[in-house]
Amino acid sequence: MTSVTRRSLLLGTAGALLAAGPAAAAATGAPSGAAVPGPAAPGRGGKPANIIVLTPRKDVGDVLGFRDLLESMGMQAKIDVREVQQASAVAGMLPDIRAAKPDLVLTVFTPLTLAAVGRYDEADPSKFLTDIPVVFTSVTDPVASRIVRSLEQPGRAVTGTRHIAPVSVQLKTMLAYRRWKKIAAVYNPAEENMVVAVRDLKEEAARQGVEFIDGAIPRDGAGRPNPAAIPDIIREVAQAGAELVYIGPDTLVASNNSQAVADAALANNIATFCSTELPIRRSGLLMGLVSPAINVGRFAGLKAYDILTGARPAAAIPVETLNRFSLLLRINTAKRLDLYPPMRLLNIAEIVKDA
Amino acid sequence: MELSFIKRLNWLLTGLVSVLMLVSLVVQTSHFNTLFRPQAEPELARKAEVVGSYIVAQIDRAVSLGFEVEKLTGVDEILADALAVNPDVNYIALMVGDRITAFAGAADARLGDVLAARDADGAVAGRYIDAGLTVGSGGVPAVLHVGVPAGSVESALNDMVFDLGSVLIVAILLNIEILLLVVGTSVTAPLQRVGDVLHEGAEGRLNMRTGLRGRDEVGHLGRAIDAALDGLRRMDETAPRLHGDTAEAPVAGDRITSMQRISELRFAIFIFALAEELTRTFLSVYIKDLFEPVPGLSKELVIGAPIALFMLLWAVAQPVAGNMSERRGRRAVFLVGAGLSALGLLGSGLATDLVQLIVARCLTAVGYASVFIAAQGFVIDATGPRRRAGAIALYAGGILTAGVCGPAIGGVVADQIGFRMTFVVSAALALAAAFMAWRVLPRHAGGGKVLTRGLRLRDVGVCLTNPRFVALTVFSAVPAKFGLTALLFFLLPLALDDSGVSQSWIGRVLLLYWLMMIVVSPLVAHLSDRSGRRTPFLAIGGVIAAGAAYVLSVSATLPLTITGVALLGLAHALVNSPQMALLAESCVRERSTLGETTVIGMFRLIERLGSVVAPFLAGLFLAHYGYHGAMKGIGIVLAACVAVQLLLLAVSGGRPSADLSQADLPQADLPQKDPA
Repeated sequence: MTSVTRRSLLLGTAGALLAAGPAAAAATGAPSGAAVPGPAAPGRGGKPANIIVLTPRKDVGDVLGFRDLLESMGMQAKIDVREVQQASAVAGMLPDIRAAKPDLVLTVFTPLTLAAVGRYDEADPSKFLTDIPVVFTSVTDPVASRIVRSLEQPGRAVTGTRHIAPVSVQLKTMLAYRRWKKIAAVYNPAEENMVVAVRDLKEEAARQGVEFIDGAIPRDGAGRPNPAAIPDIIREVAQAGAELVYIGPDTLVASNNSQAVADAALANNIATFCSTELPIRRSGLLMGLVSPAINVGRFAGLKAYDILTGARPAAAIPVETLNRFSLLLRINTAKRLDLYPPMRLLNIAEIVKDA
Repeated sequence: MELSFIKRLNWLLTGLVSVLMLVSLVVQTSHFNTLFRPQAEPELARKAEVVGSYIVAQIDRAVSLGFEVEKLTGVDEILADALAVNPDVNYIALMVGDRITAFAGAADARLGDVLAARDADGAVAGRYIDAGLTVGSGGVPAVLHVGVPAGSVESALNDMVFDLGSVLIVAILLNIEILLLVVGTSVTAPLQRVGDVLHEGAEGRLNMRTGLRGRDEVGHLGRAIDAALDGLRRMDETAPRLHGDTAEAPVAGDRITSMQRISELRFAIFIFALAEELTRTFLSVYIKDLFEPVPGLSKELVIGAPIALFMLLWAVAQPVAGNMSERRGRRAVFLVGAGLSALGLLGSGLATDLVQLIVARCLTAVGYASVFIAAQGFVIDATGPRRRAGAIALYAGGILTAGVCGPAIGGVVADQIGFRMTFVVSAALALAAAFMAWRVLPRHAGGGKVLTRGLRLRDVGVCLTNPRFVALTVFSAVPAKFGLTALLFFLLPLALDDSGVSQSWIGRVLLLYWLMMIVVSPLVAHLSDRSGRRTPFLAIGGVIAAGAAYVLSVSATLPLTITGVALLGLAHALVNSPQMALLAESCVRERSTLGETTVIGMFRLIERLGSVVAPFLAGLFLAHYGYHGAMKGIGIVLAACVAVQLLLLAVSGGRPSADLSQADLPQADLPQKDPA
């Protein structure tokens, strides 16, 4: 219980208190307002910048934060938000996107980003956007997903922001709540970023002496992961002794089926931890250590601003994560599980209440 | 030098100062009780409420979120957090219903599930003022109890009394220092000069003059006598001169000015030793603060390194600097040494890591060795054999006095301005001492003096074949230095600081050791010389030293610590003078073949090895067994040394025939106290 550093958690609160506007950008440690727009730079004085956004839903915090940052920096921009439900649909949209001659494309989450820019080592100009700067937001692990060669030097006109706290910090937060002996990860093995995230968590758990149970979702007859199996998996891991279920930045599990996870966990009386914000806010998960999506979107907006003003080329802008996280706690779940949070955590947590 | 005049004056002033201090103490105390206490106690209770309300707010928030107060988890942790930042709060307890659900702090405030019983004044366990704050609203009644020490007003008062007490001792000793300086240079020495001149005149040699030009009464007297002598001389112009002539006058004059110089040098040495002693109470704590891990070495061992290196360089530099001061002059070596020390002390205060500190400490060590050996060399140069012992005692007294005053003053200073600034003050003191020495010491070396031959390895062999020398040096002197460094300089400040004892208190505790040395040492020297017995003193002293280590190891409470330190002081006072006497008596042959200085030099060099080993061994013990175990371990080492020493002395036969006429010679040695 004492292994968690108070500092890292306190930083979490600070992150939750991030003010809106440029101050938020400044708090990320990224250079802000350093750019001096060149005469040809779009968005200032002359014609507004032309930006296309590819996102699974229009209302995600990332897009709101992105728009908000550009506005607060005084940039004129025409932001064309396009909802793309399936990543496979991106390829068909490319000719249209090219024809619109955007100054910059923003992609939200790993699948859409990968579909838009491809892997750095096999970027076929006919299948992917290679001639337009792309900024991504809320991508779990762009190196493991081979979107960029390295975080410091993307190496091509693709850069952006990550939204997940380092796995060691996540595990520390879980263990600060209770000294769990066994935890399980429920995830979609078909999502590459999840395979990476779960592998990292497993290694970290071993270092901390926590037993780890793999709760990969089985595939159905067609070879596709079957979300209907989630309640069964959670019952199984609970029977195997897991005290907490971890869900990561997983589209299938976290984005689309978080309520099923929350319900099953409650039914089996085990705790839940999630590394992204929305699932905790939308469903009855117990807790999570998250970067608020709106701040991640603002940070992406700042990178876009630098590119659009010509301050720095996209290839030279590092991929970064916010270094402050919020601890979210859902009080009613804690009460229903009869798992009271330790006072130290409670003091720094942002409380999520049932609507 | 005849000191009776000074003594009388000193007693008078000391008495007066003591009475004034005691009166002010009584006045302060009564003021404290009538004025301060009625204001202080409600203030303490309010402080408890402020600390408590901060925690109540946290618990109230949890309760308002719908958590039940008796089921909250991790309350112990936030109570402990609050205690950690409020060291003057003794305990915090959350009581739900009538039982404690969370508790942090003093264990004696708690009795199972409830608070300890209250006494007639309402104090919990008779020691704590308890403030109760209601938690939550409705539901199960919950109260947060915050305890502050009921006796804190008394302890603050006691603290003040002790502070004034140590100031009293320091003031008396400072008094003596300044009296010795002022009276010694402006009264006693001129009067001796006058006496010498009149004595010469009485024997018919009228060409000597007092040469006193001061504008005070003594100067007036001197001029009057000179005028009288001039008159006599004119009347006696034709009288035939006796065998005496002018050549004798400057000789007598030199002698007098050199005695004057020694009392001035004593003051310079006092100031110089004070510079190092100021840092005594916190040096090991300061080192610990700068600690950074060294792979493969335990923390305790690394902390010991700067002290050990200091001792080692001190031991090694001393003979070299001594040799140098014979060639280049005492003043040059003294000034360079004092400059190095000032630089080292300043560097210690500015050091940002352990390596820088070690370098600075090494500079200081070399500087110290140079200053003390040069000063001692000057005293030996300036005195004839007859007055040498007295002169050395006079000069060494300054170092001992600094040992008493330094920690006491240093502790208070460090509490007020911090460790680093205290180092800066020390550096300034070292420079001040250099300035004094620059004025006092003669510019040139004695000249034509036969150089003392340095220590040779073969000499060590000669001495080490004498079992009595080995018993005395390796198993009595080395353990004494070992015990002093390990316990007093290394472990005790660390242990006391760890248990939250203030620097002022550590200073007072260390002061006790030197006080015992000052008071008991002369008595022991007297007793030992009168009875002619040495070994019993060494044995009893050794056993008491081991006992002192044991007493210190029992617990870190102040009464036991004070007892232990006083015992250690007593033990070392017992062995100190008899050691030197026994050295002279046991090494008659070695002294005649190697020379007095060489034997004593070797004794001092080997003795210092104890100081070098001490921090390492103490650090090793500390790493493995903690403070108490380490002190016990040192006690065992000390006890074992006594046993071996007695065995060796017994095996090597009875008391050797001592050349008692030389028994006073060893006094003409380094000061008995190692200022490091």
